[in-house]
Amino acid sequence: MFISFWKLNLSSTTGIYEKFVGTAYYKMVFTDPVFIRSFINTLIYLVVFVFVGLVISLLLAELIHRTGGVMKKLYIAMYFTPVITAQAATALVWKLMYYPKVGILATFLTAVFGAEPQTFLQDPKLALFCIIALDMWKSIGLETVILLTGIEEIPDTYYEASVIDGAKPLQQFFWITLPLLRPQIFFLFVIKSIYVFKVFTPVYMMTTYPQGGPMNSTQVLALNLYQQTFKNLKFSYGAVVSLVIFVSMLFFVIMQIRYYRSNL
Amino acid sequence: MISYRLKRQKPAYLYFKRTILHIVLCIGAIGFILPFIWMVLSAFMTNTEIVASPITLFPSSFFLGNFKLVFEEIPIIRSWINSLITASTVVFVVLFTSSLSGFMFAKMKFRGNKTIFTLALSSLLFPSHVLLIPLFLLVSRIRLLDTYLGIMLPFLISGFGVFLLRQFIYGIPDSIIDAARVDGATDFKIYVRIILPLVRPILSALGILIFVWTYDELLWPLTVINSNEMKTIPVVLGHFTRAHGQYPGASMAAATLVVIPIIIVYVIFQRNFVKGLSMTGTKY
Repeated sequence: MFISFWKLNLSSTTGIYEKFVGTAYYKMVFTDPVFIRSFINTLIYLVVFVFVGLVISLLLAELIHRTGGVMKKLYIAMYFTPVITAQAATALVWKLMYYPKVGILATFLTAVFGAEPQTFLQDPKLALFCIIALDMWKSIGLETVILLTGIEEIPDTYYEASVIDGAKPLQQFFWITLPLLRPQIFFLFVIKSIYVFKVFTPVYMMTTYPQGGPMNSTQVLALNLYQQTFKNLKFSYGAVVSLVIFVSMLFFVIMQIRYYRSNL
Repeated sequence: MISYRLKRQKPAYLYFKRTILHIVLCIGAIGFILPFIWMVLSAFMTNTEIVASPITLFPSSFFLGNFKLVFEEIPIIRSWINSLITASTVVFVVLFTSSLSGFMFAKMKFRGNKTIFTLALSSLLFPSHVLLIPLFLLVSRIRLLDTYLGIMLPFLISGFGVFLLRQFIYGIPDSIIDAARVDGATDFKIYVRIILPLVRPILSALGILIFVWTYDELLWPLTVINSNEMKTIPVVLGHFTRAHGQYPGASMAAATLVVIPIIIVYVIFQRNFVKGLSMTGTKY
């Protein structure tokens, strides 16, 4: 329904359809260093956020699964708290925790690991990873709960059989738990990947004006889209960026659809 | 529930292992909620206290100046109301539309059922970020900029919700519905009396998720709202930190105020939440 909009938008200057300029905007966008930077950053975000997040939450789910009773409920509740809070608010809290040199995290890291006091968000090399860390903290609870239910649905008989066959706990994890968790892991993988292309709030809230700094090191696609469209009023530029976001998401969605097809 | 693999091991070894397990999990959990505790605590600290070294975790006295500054500087009550109105309307509309259409797609046989369902699903492909520009043009064309309806419009129907409910209702045995029909129930009565009670856990999970997502949405309100009175909480928060970034205590106070409504909603609906959520994961 909206696809037609793209074409019109792309071939116009300011959203009122002026004249057809063909692929001029594509050339402009794809040669823009800020856009390239934001694309690369989004890819880094994707890899780190999705994979590290999945590994940590798998580990947590497996560990929580081994506890029981009240403590288990308590753990779930505690790991889940970040999920039910506003991103905007948590971004502020983390921003303050990342306070350069004398902030709570800098002090902690220096005290425990003897590391140099970092400037975190003001350091172009670290800033992006700081934001990813916040986002992981916020989403791991949900992933853990979903994986945990998956683990709990695996029948005990499989484990009993493997004990008779002489399997060690680690082997059990890799040969029983992981393969049987495949639907959940795949679901999370796709959902997270799609989410990454929409990341906006944490970057917007945590970096100071103009957002995406220092030196565009935390520029991501959605932020680029917003800034170009509504700050610089380059609607056509924005349309190209959103087309890029769409195509990237499409890739993951198609993956998901094919997966369900093969399983139904 | 202790898994089978632990039962087979020797008790002493088992206790040792369990202690380590709990220690690891405890450290992790504390790490997870520490930012919250710190947020609330530092809301009561003076600004010099927050960045003082050595770091202090507890405020020396309950300093209320931060909250005073927040209430004076920004119309937080008003934006609270804005956020709550939009978010709760979205939640109710989404729950209604997705349960009703989920019921339709799952249990009614009519021509083009599959096609329409696929169409509804394909809306998952177009999240509001991708549609930002056309949606903005649309909303401005129909003069909904700066209105509640404008803020809510893109979120009123959720492809995710429809999909979730459809999968879930699909699992409800047909025989229940047939029995009701034999007893003379209309389709709507079946929906109200049978379907709704059965999907309640999933509805409350979906409700909380939708509430948090809508309440949290920053990009879209940022684009459609111009006037100060209509700003939702995240937007206000963004502007506030831009203007008062030098007062960390005040931002913490504002953040605390922002989180409170979500916590309240969560506590109200929390009973079915984790149960419903786990269904979310497994139904896929």
